[in-house]
Parts: sequence; C-alpha cells; structure tokens
Amino acid sequence: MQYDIKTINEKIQKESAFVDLLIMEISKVIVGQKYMTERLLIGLLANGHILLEGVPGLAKTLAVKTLAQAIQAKFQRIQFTPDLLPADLVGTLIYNQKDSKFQTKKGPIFANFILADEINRSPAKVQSALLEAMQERQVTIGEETFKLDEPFLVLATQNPIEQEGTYPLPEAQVDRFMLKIKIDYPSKDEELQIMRQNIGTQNNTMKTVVSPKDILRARAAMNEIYMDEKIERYILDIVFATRAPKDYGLDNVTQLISYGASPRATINLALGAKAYAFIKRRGYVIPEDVRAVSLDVLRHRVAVTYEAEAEEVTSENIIQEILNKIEVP
Amino acid sequence: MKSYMKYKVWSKEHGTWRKFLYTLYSLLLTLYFLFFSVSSAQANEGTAAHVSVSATTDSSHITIGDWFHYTINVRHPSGVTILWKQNADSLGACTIVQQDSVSKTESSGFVTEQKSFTLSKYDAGTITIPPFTVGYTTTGDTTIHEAESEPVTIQVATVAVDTTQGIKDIKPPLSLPWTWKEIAMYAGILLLLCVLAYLVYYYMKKRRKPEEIVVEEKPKVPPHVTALVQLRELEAERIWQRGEIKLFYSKATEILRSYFEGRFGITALEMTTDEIMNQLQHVTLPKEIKKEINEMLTSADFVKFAKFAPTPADNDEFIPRAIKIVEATKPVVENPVTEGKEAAVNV
Repeated sequence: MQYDIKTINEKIQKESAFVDLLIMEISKVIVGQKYMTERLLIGLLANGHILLEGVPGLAKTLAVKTLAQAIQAKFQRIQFTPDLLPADLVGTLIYNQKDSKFQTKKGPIFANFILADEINRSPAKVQSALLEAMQERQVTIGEETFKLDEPFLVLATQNPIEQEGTYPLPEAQVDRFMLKIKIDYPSKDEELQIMRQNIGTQNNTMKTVVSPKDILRARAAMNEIYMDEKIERYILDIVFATRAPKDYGLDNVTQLISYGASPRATINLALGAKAYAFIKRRGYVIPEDVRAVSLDVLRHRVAVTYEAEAEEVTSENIIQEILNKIEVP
Repeated sequence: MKSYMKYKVWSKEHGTWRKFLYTLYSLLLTLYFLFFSVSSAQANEGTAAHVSVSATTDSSHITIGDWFHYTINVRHPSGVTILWKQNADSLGACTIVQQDSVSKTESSGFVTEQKSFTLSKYDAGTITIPPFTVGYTTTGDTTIHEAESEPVTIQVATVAVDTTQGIKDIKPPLSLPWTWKEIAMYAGILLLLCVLAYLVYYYMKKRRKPEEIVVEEKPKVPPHVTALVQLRELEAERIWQRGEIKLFYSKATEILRSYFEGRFGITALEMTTDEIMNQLQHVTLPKEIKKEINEMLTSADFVKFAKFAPTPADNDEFIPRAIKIVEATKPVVENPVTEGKEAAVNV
C-alpha cells in the first residue's frame, strides 16, 4: 500500500514530535488529568481559548502554569473579583509628572498564557474586556493599540458549585471559547501519587521542551492536515442535528434543545479535530478525531430548554444522543 | 189703642197657626229620622245575614307545644266572593305550623268555604285567638265588606314536672323514616356510579387491548445472508475498476458494519473503527478474525479519509476478505440429532 498524502504525514510526524515530549514533561508535575492536558494542547494548537469547569483543587492553575513553563512562555494568573476593573486587566494610562506625558501601563493580559480564575465573579464590563482581547488579539489603551503576544491562550475557570454573587457569562461570550472542559477528580492511584509528590517524598522538576516558535510552526503544519469531504459532512451533520434534530430522526431531543450550535461550532469542531489528529501524529482526520472533541466543542454551545432542565437532561446527554444517531462515514 | 187691639186679635189668630205649623214640623222630622234609622238598620241586618264566619278548634285544652286544628267556616250565598287574608306565620299568639288551602261545598243556594290551620303554642296559660276577619264582595258591588268570627279561647297547660325524680338528659334526635323521594335519589346516585364505573372499566379494557392489526410477518433474513448477497453484488458492480475506489471502500465497509449491527447487536453504523473494535472485544471471536476486521476497517479508513491509494491487488482482495469474515462469524445452528450424531451446520 502506498500513501497518497505521504508528504503531509511525514511533515506532521516531524512537527508533532514535541507533543509526546511535552505531555511527558507536564505529567511530571501534573499527575493524571491526561484529558485536560490534551485539551490544553488542542486549544494551543488550534489557537482557541478554553473554559475550564471543575471544583477547586483539581490542578487547573498548576496545569496552565506548567504548560507555560514547558513552552517557555509568559504566564499570568488573574483572579476575577467583583471589584475588578477593565483597566486592571488590559492596562491604563498613567500621567508622568516628570515628562508631563501619559505613559502606558500594560496590564496582566500581556502574556502568552492567561488564567482568568473564576471569570464569573467579575461584572460584565471586565468579562467583555477580556473576551474582546481574546477575539481581537489586541488591546487598545488610550489611543494606542497593542498586539498581544503569540501564542495567546486564555484559560478561564468557573466554579460550578458556588453560584451566589456571580455574573454568569452570556451565551454570546461563552461561544467565544473554543472548548469547555469539565474536569473530574483524579483516580485513587493518581491521587496517591499527587499526595506523595506534594509531601516531598518525590521531587520532579520539569524542563522547557518547546519554544513558542515551535508552537507557531506546529500551528502552520496543523493547517495542512487533510480533512476529507466525508469528515466535513460528518461535522456538518453533527452541528445541524443540534439545530434541527427532527431532520436526523432525533424527535426525542427536539423539545430539549432551546437553540443549537453556531457556525463557530462548526469551525471549532473542524479545527479541534485537526488538532487532535496532530496530537495523534496523523496527517489526516478520521471520525475518531471529530468524536474526541465533539463534547468539548459543543457542550457550551447547545442550550437546553427548561423542560430538559426539569428532566435533568444536560447538553452533554443531548450531544451524546446526537453522536450515537449520526451515521459515521 | 185701636191698632193695638187689632194686633192682639191678629196675634191671637196667628198664634194658633204657628203652633200648628210647629207641631207639623216636629212630626215630619220625627218621621224622617224614624224612617232613616229603620232603613239603615234593615240594610245592616240584611248584609250581616248574607255572610257568617265561625271559628272552631278541635280542642280547647292543649299541652304546651301540642298541635291543634283551628277551622274557619264561612257561609254565604252564591254570588258572594270571599277574600281570604294571607296569614304569614301566626294567628294572634299562636304559631301557624301548617295551613290548608280553602275548600268549598255548596248546598241550597249557600256556599260554605272552609280553611284549616294547624297551630301550636309554646307558652302556658289562657290564650285567645282573635276574631278571624274575611273580606267579601257581592255581585255588582265593588265595595269590600268585612265579616269576622268570634274569638276562641284555649287553655294551654304546661307539662307537669316530677321534682322528686332526678334531672334527665335531653332526648336524642328522632330519626325520621326514609321517604320514597330520598330512596329514589340514593338509588339514582348508586346507579350513576355503577354506570360510570362500567364506562371506566370498558375504556381501560379497550385501551389495554388495542385492536390487533394483523400484519403479515415477512420471514426475517439473517444479517449474514444479506451481507453476503450485498458483497457479491458490490463485487459485480466493479466500482473500483471504474476508478471509484473511495466509493468502493465506503460501500464495502458499510455492508460490513451493517452486518456487525445485525449480527452482534452493536450500533456499528454510528461507531468509529476504534469504537467498533472496543465493542467486539466483548464478543467471543477468534483473535485472528478480530485482527482481520481491525485491519480491514483501518485500511478502509485510510482510503476513505487519507487519500490512500491501495493497489489493485488490495482492491481485488477486499471483497473475498470481507466474505471470509462474514462466513467465519455467522451463527452456527445445531441440527437435530440424526442417527445418534449431532451435526453443526452453517445456516
């Protein structure tokens, strides 16, 4: 047998060589959470931002910090509070009496990796400032516009337990996150290792294995990954099934979906599938890649009705139902 | 003097006349008054004789709270209309318990109208039922005249209390006997409930057992038979020979996945290769067969999604390999015991 896309495959094999190394280095610090690590890489490679949801103490901050360290990138953690102002985030102009001029004081958003901790604790104006920066990848302070560093990855966290005194992200802004990842507790064995690692019996130091330039190069290579029309149609079927379930024989979920996924979901599903294929070191996308990222791409984009909430049906249940119904090419 | 004498003579003559006139005037006046009083008396006497009202009771001595009947009889000539008064709830000091309607009897040109009241009294002592008044009119006269009965006296005695005995409790309420009206009402309700219960039962029974629709059941074709037929048809279509290699592999894997769905009960059409292989891990199959399935599906994925161009030999071999997998995994049915031996036969 002879590969038609041999060149692409070889290139991907070469460019994705750092992936295993990177995952290995991260796993020295972060025990378990392979799912989260993989999704962080998908976000990084597909140039998307990630919304993390999980109870406190699941190494969300540590994972991002470790990733930044492994890539030799600048990391900033911003704790979102109700009294936070947009200027605290993007920066402001300060009057310099000595020079009689306004000077720009850049905010913490000028970094490669931003961890927006508990994003729903701050009011809408701060959320908007961050989400605008995420979308435009530039910030305007006064009259001057500054490009943000590349790679630029925002990881926002939400605590699913405490909802009092929070400002839930509007659907339009949630849609700007490429993935929404739900993190679960580690297994018993993993937690044992975490315990040992943290009480000092084990000391694992990690080193930098990739540079931001490697990531940018990997992004360019990832774009060359071949996606067959059948896969493209499969992605469209999944997204359209969230909008018109009846057309796909999903009458049972029609009443449960308030509105379906946006075209941004289609784009992100394709990008996510490509990034997943890259991580798996393949030069082409297979249905497995689409299935692997479907939940993370769609769960925050499919809004459920009150009826679904009353029946305790989540968007994940609906997406799973759709995936089980749509024929794989 | 002469004139005085004339006057005296005249006076003497005229005084006799005056006396006479005075006497006559008095006589006429007396006659007039006598006539007027006689005719008036005659007129009154004549009217009273027309209508007579009498009141009677069935008992003149009752015990406190007892019921007694008070009957009014009005006798009058025909042509007289009696106007009975409406009595609300009492007659004098007596309470009206019940009052009957007026009944009429006629004999010898006289009509007798009768009305009965059932009365009671809750105070002891002597009571007087006041005269009962009726109005009446005569033919050709719209004037309402009145006639009334004599008052009736009743003695109401209290209940003698034997103070030597102790105080007794109040008597319980008396139970009234069932009336036909009540019996009919309760019977109607019971009947209605029975009808409702039957209707509910009938509805539930009909709902539970929907009308059986006789559908001619087609004999179910085993999945391996369908798969083998479809694979042979695909081979005969010679798709890959026409350059439609991707279509050929898509159709071939679809037939195989449909077969797995029917044979192993997994939703293989909606599964990726990895998911199908994971599901087949739970199926008892030889390792070589599982390996062959994995290889075939994976190589087909390369063709379908990675622009992979297999050799003509690979294409030629694909259908026979698929048939081999179907043959190897199709169910085996044991034949009934023949001549003491059990023979396994492929269906």
